Amino acid sequence: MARRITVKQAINEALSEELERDDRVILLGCDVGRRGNPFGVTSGLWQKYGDSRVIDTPLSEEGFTGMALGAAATGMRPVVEILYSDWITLAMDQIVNEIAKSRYMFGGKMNVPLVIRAPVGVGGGVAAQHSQSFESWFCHIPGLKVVMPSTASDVKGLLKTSIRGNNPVIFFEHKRSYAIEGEVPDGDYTIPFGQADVKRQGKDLTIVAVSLMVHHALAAAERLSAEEGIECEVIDPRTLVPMDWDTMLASLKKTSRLVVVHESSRTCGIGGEILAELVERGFDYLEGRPIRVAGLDVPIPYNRGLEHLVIPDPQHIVDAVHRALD
Amino acid sequence: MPTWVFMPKLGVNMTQGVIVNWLVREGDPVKKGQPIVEIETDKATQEVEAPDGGIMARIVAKAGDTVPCTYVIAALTKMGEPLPAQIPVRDEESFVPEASVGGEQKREGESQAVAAREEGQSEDHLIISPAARVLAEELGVDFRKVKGSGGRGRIQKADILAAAQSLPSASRGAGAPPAGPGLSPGQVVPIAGVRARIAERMLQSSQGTARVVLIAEVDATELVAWRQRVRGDHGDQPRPMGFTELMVFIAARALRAFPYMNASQRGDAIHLLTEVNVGVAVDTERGLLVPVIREADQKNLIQIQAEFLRLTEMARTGRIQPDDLTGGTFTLTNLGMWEIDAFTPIINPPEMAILGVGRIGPRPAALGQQVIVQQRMTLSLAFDHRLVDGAPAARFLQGIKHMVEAPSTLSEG
Amino acid sequence: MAEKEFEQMRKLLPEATLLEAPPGLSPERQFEMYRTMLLIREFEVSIPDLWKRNLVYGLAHSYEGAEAVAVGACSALEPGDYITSTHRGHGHCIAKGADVNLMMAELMGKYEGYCHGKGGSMHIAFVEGGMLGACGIVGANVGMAAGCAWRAKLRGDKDVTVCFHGDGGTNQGIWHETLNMASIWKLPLVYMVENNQWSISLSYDRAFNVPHIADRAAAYGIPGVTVDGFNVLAVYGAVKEAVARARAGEGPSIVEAKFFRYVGHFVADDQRYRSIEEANRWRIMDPVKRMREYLVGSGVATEEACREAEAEAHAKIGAAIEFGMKGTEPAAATLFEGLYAD
Repeated sequence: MARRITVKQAINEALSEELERDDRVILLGCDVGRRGNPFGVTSGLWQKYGDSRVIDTPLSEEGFTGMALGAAATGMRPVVEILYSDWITLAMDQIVNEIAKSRYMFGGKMNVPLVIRAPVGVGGGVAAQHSQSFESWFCHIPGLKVVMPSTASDVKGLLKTSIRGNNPVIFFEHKRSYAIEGEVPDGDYTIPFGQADVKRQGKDLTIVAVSLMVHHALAAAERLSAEEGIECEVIDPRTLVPMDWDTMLASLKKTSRLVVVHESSRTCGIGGEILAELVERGFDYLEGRPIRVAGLDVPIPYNRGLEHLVIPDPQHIVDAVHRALD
Repeated sequence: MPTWVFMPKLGVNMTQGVIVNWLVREGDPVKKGQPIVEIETDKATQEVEAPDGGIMARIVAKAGDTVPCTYVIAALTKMGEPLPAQIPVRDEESFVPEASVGGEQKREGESQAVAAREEGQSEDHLIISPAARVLAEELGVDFRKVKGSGGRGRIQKADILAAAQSLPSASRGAGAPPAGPGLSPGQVVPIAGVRARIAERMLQSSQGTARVVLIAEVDATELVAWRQRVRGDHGDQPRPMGFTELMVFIAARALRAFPYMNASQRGDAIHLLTEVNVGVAVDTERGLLVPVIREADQKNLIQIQAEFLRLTEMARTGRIQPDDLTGGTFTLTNLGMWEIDAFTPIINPPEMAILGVGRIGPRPAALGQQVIVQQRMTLSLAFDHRLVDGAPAARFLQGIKHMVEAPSTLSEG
Repeated sequence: MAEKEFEQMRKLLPEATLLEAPPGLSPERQFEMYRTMLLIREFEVSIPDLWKRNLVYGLAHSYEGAEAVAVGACSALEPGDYITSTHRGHGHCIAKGADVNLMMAELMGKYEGYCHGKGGSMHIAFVEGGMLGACGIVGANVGMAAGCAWRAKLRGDKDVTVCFHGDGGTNQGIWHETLNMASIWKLPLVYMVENNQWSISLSYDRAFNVPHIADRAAAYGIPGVTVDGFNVLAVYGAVKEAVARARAGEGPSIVEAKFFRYVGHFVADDQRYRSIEEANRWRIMDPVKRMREYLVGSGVATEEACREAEAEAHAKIGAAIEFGMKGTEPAAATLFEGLYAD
């Protein structure tokens, strides 16, 4: 049996179920408690679990992220919320130099079971400092896991796995995915890391899409199928570290054509890593030029028309498919 | 046991130091902590102290020597203690041989090429590089018949080129010499290799283009004078300037002036090309080859000649490279040396036009009401009427005619 | 100690106080503190030569002269309490009970070291002994320490965390952020400020606008005290009070041990930014020497007992060096070990 819920509800359910299941789990961040997060993602949790489990912090991202490390190192399982991923920059030293490295530097003698949720994404005119996506930075730091799902069922299962695991996880949910509904299995379930999901099967071309772009890629694939008889296979990696290369390569072997899509800015974005690795490993599968579709290299502007120009939409993906099939 | 004095590491990045000055001599007594030598690091000169008391028994490194860190520079002994015959070169205890740290372990985490797990070539999955595939298309080679020389049998550019030139060692479809001098009646020549390629392309061009040929006679007086002048000015060149090079020079500049003639069809569109790359038809033992002089419009006459000579030399000796045979935007073919006046050349796909150059010689011409004898040449321009109409093509040929008749209007450099 | 000598000390350090055992501190425990200080001293003075021979490499920062702080503070802890350390952390490790063999092996990069050669001098940890790691980012470890105390508060555990950090670290943003949160939530935490008056080449008077770092405690509504950092018993007394407060649920405090770093910042520091002569004048406040004088002078220990303890410490470090030298280089196959859990 399955239910239809939104991504936002899925996150709330995952957090609630994990708080229930393990009393070492705590949530912390600005406005997560009494306000239930400005988007309502953590609503109801403070009311149910109280001050010792759902903690409102002062505006001290570096401080409370570092403190989450100390709590994790001595037995807790903290879930930190940094409301807009743009502000993760305030906590960079703790994430990069302490959280990612403590286990390794100390010879494997310390576990850091810590999750940092950092919602990403453009939309709504919140402009340059509230719209970014830094997943490629964190994929570049050995010692972290990076998770970036965008459907209700993926988000719930992967957030649970993140909380139950013993490694530090950066969990990038997309703010504009919150209202997207999807089917979610009943009961408790987890999704393992390193397992990409083939969201749509097809024989003509492989689209690898990240986060919200999964939905745009599916829309583009539907249009291409209905109007031109082009069948695209859409793959959602879901976790970027570890990345499931095998699933993507199997698809590339079948289709021989590749388009990679992400919302964040093109230069040095995650699309470069995906494309480079797939070309290096799957060079002999390629029939045509692989194409990246990504955001433009510009801070996100306020004006909604300009904002819309910056990020990829289904038409951009359709155009890229045409170029890749040329 | 003597006390060995080592070159100390005094900085995080220091790997060696220079002995500046010994403050004691061999045989001197030395107290623990006494400065015994000055050494120079990359930052400054510093004193080094004796690690123990004793006699300075041997100074191993002299002033001015550069010594790696942890290597022995001196030996201290106690009173009456003999110095051993063997003085160690360095501090063995701190020495770490590279092998034990590096090891032969493979670097983990580097991506593994998928195909390493697969067999090589198979019928339904040919391994051919993208570049080779493009070249095969350009040269009209059926790559399915080509044997690959790359890893796991991958077909590469060189394999395609060899097939095109029908070098026996590389190509399965080994070429036969084309019909030409040296063949005798009764001999059967298979249509294969270069011959087959030429046959295929000529047919493709004839059937695929709407070819129209424009013919124009030009006054070659100035052209002949120009060649004379250049030969005189550059008498030291290994080969004298030829008319072909002059015509390449002129054609390139004409293409600049009439960019719609420097174009090709791709799909549903005519692409006006940014480079002017003029191919020149060359007759070789193996058959017709068309090496390309790239960016001919940017080259001066001497550069064009140098490139032309290089390419024809390579073509005739079978050493020409794939890159020199591709990328042309226009072709020139000169049959004047065989006393041909005019002809109807076949366009070289995917180009749009080809200029045939006939012989230059004295012919009657009109000057006013008089008949005179004048050096004249016939130009034959074949163009693809699908892509450009007669009048614009005619204007282009007229442009060339004017340049030939008044080359002084062109800057030669 | 002669009054004249003490007056000289006070001229250098106005906060200097005479060594005096707080009530309840037995002679045995006082002598034990001396032995630990000796072990730290012997360990630290052996490092420069090892470094020059490239047996210890990278960055190593000496704790020589600071022994009173680590030993005084750690002596005030119960088993089960935690500490965090800094890049200048050998003293904290030894004071918390680390095995000097495993420490020396780690400094030599050997697999037998505490961190299997992955950490080196600046990143030693022995979590099982309540030592949550040294950190090479100045000031950053207040996050780890405050988080550990936070866990204690949330879980109702009875342990206390002492966070060692230097004067330099108190100017990092995270110091203020965690102080604020620790004070709001009354975390069982002691900010043990080792004010040696030098952040590499920046002296205290050029880095602070207040005479004492402990003055900043008022800004967070918590107690703060400054003590003679060359006086192991003074440090012990102040930390004991702070720990008791924390354990009783009254929240964090700042204990500032003020002294002077009379060695270079790191092992090969040429100290061109200051007068070495002036720095050496501070050696009259050598905490190990002062503790010895106090012990013998007050009858807690005999001259002979002290000499025996000194020889023992020297031998222990000699054995540690041998242990380290005999250790094995980590194999290439261990490169990725410990990166991720399961």
